[in-house]
Amino acid sequence: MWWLYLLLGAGIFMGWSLGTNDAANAFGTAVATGVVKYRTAVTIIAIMVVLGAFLQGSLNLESVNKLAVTNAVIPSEEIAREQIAAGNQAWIDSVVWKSTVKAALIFVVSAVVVFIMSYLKFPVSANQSITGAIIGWGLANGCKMKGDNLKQIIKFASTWIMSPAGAIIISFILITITNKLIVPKLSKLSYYDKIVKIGYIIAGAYGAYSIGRNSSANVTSLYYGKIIDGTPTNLLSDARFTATIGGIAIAVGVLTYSKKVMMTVGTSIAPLTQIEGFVVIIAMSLTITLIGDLMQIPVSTSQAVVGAVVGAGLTKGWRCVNFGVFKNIGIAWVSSPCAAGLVAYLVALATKGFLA
Amino acid sequence: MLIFSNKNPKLSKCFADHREDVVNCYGKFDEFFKVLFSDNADPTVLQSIKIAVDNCENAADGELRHVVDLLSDSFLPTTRTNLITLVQSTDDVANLCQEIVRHVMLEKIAFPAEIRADLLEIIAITKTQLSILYNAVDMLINDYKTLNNDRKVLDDVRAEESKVDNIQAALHERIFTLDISLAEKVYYRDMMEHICDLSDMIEDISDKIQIMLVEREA
Repeated sequence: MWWLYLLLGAGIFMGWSLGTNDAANAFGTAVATGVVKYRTAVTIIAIMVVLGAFLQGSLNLESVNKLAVTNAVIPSEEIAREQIAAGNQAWIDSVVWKSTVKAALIFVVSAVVVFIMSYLKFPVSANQSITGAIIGWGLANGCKMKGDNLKQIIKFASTWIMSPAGAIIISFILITITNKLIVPKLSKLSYYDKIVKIGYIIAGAYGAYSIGRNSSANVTSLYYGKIIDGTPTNLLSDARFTATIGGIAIAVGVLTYSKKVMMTVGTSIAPLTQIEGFVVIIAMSLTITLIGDLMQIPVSTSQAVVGAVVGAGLTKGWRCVNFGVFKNIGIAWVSSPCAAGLVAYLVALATKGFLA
Repeated sequence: MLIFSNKNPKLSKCFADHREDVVNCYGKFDEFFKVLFSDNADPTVLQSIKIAVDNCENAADGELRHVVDLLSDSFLPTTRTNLITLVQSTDDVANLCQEIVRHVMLEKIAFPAEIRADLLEIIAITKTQLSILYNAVDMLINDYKTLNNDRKVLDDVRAEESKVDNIQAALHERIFTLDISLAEKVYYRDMMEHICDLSDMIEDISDKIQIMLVEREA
């Protein structure tokens, strides 16, 4: 069924939209302040995002799939083994196309919600929208918020707090160390300039790598399933290939449509010093990597970067922090998954007849 | 990009050359007034000093263009803007020196004896002020930490300007007590203000340096 591969387009579109938004976090400040040229930035981001996806992107596949399993988007491995062992031909014939269509619908819902909310200038998180859409789909299919499903939901929701909170702590520590140990040694203007320029490039490259590692699985994971006894259980069966497609989609988003967002992100972080500007990106990337390693879950990069900026502000005292940003995090925290969940719920109800 | 090129030593040399041209220009300006206010000022000597002022100013202009060329695609944009602002502003000091000397020569101005000593003092204070300013510029480029921790050097620039202000106010008053026509009074006052503008310009540059320090601190 070659046409099923066309449905990959929904995930690729989600990846593209993630690339146009989240990937801007890696180089926004550097590009907006002219430290790094836009073309250089997008080239580095595209390469590093794909590299991050290729080398480590598959780490998050399992966790997203577990949430998808407990929410009836894809079948569990145990059920698949049972059905295949029992020779249930009807199930085997339908499993791939049903999973693919569900994945496509969920990604379309998430992408449309992200697009509309961004258009309405609501703070939004692409990663949370996907999670919300998966949960909404499960609710429409009678999956209760208890047991394994509740555990999975709590696991995902916990990162929505851990991501900004972790970024605040990491950024605070890094900025304090940098300002005490490194900045005082940058007395020569030429050294200062070199450090800032190299710092932004390294931080941006690391940031892009961590975004590829973190988010690539999120936009293609629902198309992934293992091959059991020679029977594929979903459209894609190679974990690395699945994540790499996500990475390429994000890279295309960066290359084609990220300039405007990059400028907006950059100017919003402008009150920081140039040194702090790139340390914040390193803090964001470290947060994504550490929480990703700890929880094996894609985290919100937008919230991580906001947390990192807050952490940087805290090094100068409470009064230097605009705590209004937490209002935006709060709105995105609630609105992104809720809006995507609600729309996915309605779509799942409408398609229950032939996809359940 | 500067960090990957060998432009840095060239740039440092251009900066040093520009500084030398501006300082020389001011030195000649100072010499011009000393000769002008001396007894039996020789017009040929004055003319040769005027030419020297012109040459220094032209050389400074050339170095300015060279610095701007070398700065293109070098340093961070904000640093580039700051450096160009600094060089341009100090170049304006040389421009004004040239303009004042040219006026004096073209209009064959004979300053009244009563105001000459004060004018020479203003010019001498401004010379010290320019030297202090260049110390601050050096520190900004090579020893940011010291400059940022102790901004006394910038205060010193302002202190010199304050001295000039005091002399200027007294001189202004004195010009209008002289037994000359009102037109002459206004004319000498304007010339004095031009000379005092040099000190104001140098003070403005020190303010710009302070802004650069604050911007880096954010």
